[in-house]
Amino acid sequence: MPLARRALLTLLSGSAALLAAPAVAQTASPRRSGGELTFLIGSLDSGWGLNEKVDSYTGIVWGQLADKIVHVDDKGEATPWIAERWEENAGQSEFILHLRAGPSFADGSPVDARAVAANIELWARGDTSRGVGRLGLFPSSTYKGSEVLDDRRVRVSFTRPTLSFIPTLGYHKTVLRSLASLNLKAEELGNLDRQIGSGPFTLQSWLEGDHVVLRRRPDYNWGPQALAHQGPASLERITFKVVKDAAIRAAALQAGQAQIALNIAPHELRPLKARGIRAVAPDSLGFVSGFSVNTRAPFFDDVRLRQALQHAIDRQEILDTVFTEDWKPVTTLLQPNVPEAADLSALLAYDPEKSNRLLEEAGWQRGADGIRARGSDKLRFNLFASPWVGTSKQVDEVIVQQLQKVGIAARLQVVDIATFNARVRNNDSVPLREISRSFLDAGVVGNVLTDADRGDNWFKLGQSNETLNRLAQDIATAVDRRSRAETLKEAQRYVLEQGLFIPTAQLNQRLYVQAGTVKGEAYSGGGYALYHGAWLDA
Amino acid sequence: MAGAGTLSAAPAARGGLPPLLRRLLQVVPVLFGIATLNFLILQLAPGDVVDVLAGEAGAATPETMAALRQSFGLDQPVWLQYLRYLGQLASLDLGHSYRLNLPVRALILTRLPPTLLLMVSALLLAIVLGSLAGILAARQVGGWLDTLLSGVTLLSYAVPTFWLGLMAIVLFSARLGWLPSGGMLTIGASHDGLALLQDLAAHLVLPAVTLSTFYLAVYARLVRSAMLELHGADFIRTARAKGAGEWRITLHHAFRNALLPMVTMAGYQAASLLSGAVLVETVFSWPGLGRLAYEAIRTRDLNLLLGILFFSSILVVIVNIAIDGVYRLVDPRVAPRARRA
Repeated sequence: MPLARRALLTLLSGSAALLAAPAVAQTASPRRSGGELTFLIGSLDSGWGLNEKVDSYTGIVWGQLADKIVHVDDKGEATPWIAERWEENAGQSEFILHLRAGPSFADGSPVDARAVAANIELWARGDTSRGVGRLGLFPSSTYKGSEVLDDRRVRVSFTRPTLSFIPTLGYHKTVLRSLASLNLKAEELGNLDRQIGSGPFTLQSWLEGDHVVLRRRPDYNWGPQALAHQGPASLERITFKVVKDAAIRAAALQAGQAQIALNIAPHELRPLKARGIRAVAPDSLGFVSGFSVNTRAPFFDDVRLRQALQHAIDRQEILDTVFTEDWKPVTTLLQPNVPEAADLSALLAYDPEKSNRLLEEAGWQRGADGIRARGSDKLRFNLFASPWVGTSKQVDEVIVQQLQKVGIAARLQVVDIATFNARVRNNDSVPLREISRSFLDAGVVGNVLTDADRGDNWFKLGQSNETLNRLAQDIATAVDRRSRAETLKEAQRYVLEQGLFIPTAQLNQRLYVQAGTVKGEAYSGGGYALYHGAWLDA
Repeated sequence: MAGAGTLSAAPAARGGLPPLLRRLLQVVPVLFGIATLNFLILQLAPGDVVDVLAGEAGAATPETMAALRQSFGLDQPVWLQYLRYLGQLASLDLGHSYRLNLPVRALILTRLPPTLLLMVSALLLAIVLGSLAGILAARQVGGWLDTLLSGVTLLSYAVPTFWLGLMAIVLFSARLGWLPSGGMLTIGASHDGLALLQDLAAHLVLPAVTLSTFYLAVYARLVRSAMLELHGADFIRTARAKGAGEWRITLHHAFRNALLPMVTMAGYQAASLLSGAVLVETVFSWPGLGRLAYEAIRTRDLNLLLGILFFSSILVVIVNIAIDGVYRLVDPRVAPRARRA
């Protein structure tokens, strides 16, 4: 299939495709009102239900249909949106949101304190009787409740310091919906006609899993304050159309049948750029792509084996083989735009000799077949590619070959989401679990280190490691971002030194490949596009 | 299946049930068997819809997952889930999709018409063009036309559908710009009347032709060989002796007799067309049942998948009953009265 796609694009772009060409630069041009944007997307299959049903794809549609309480930029900075300001107590456990006057949902109901409190309550607690889980990234474990103080003020309380609360309100899943939408029955929650937001666009028509057409809301005047454009959107209409195959999305884009296509494989971008099509990879906050190491898996309790893996991976080769020059090498386990990200490149240096030495020290000797063994145990395991990241399989193929060079036999397994979760989640025979997690506040790092306070316990150490316990505790109870940043840097160093997380490449889940005529769009800290201020050049 | 219905039609004359009613009654245990098999096979797939939802959440706790399973009834013993499923089928209530939060019946009914349109168009194209190719090839056995048609049909039989679809999009949509690259209608165009039909036809051409190619090749080979078998038959020689023209002999005598195996094949292919539609619907972004089924499998949306499979089974059964009717039209000898005579 990749070969067919490559042939398809080469055929489309002719001989010019073989020449690298720079992306077309955005030139200043006057804003134009009107116009219709067609956006080709790989999936709208998660439906339109609450909380976790908003995924990486539908999140883009929701970004136009609904507002958020705050806007978070690519540095994790929260700025006013529906909340015009907020107060926080010294202990960072109580927040008062002051809401803007005037915003209304598309059904006419006000975006007031009652609606905001109901939304927060549902994100925090979910409603399993209707099949709605709590929102994964929301700090539910410390959530006490939301109180409506008056029409425009909501008090939100936590049992202990929760620095991540405000940034989380700009998450792509924390979209504000009308009270009527929140209270639908389980079998009605997915009806987009009845899922009402207050965003710059409203629903015109849709077909489940196929397309969504949005039209401009003329009275919209409450966009994020940080964005240059205010007032109603410039575009008259946006059509999101599902086209599963990336090569067909690219073909339609080149044929002028659409203005934007989401996620084209990196190696297929060059012929597109030659035709004046831009690839926009907005910075997105979160962890980089990589593997969390399960220390309960056979042999992986040995730090020497984990460190050997860390140094056996040639990250530059991964970039050269799978990605383009748009991707930079990783320097830690956090994306480079996360303010707390440290430069720990030295800990990630490719050094196969060191890997071989560490493995020898740990008693792993090369056998006749090139695979290392210790007694009757062979150094081999299954490596599961992430079903959520399009480039995961290609990256893992390179990694399998690199590990083979130091005598480690990893067998690549490519499975769907359900199988991945059934076989990898809580399976202590699988040593490496591929991670693709975004966040808006780096405090999330503290939640993954141990199992304290319903922590994700990525490394399966529970609370047995004193250093991790201390780091997790310090991050969780921090009331000051600056001091927390130091703790976060220490945590990154410790995790990488111990080989508990093995980074591979920058995570880019959303690559917007678009015609040069698209102007003025903005992106959230999660890399989600906002077309409120966008327009199409004539 | 088609033949059995015609052979057992005689008791109706002795005051038993009418043939159609008998067939419908026979369908009930068949559907029950299909529903049971569907349910059991899907139990074997690793993971469930809660695993998918948890995967998307990234941070779902075991408690939340347990609560969701309880809410969906997935924590109950398999036999109890099976009985509940049968109960739903009996009351024609297919429940709702846990993932999409929409009623299963509404989802299926929205997606069924596009799939039916695609299937019927592809089948008609395959039958008409396949028959034509078969007739022409049979009239010039060993000639250049026969060689050419055999080559083309062999190629269309061998080429993977998805690749053919991709290439068709490259040529007719991206390069020439004659046809849209996907979808069923121009979204938001609000056409009506003739403009709507034209828009629909423009979107239908590529997927229908792509889906028909494989079946077209089968029909062409079938008609060619059936007509060659009849070449020296007595009734053909008699017709020729009576001075009938070659085209009249080909169409009226030989082709009519060659139709019977083709009709049988069409019945069998109704099911495989449904599965073939999955690929074509994906390549051409056709909003049909196949794509919905694929997603339901991928996300272990059990209610939705069972509903689609059940509907598809009913569809195949209806097609086969219809094929029985066509038999009688094509060849009066297989009609019950004719057999009794």
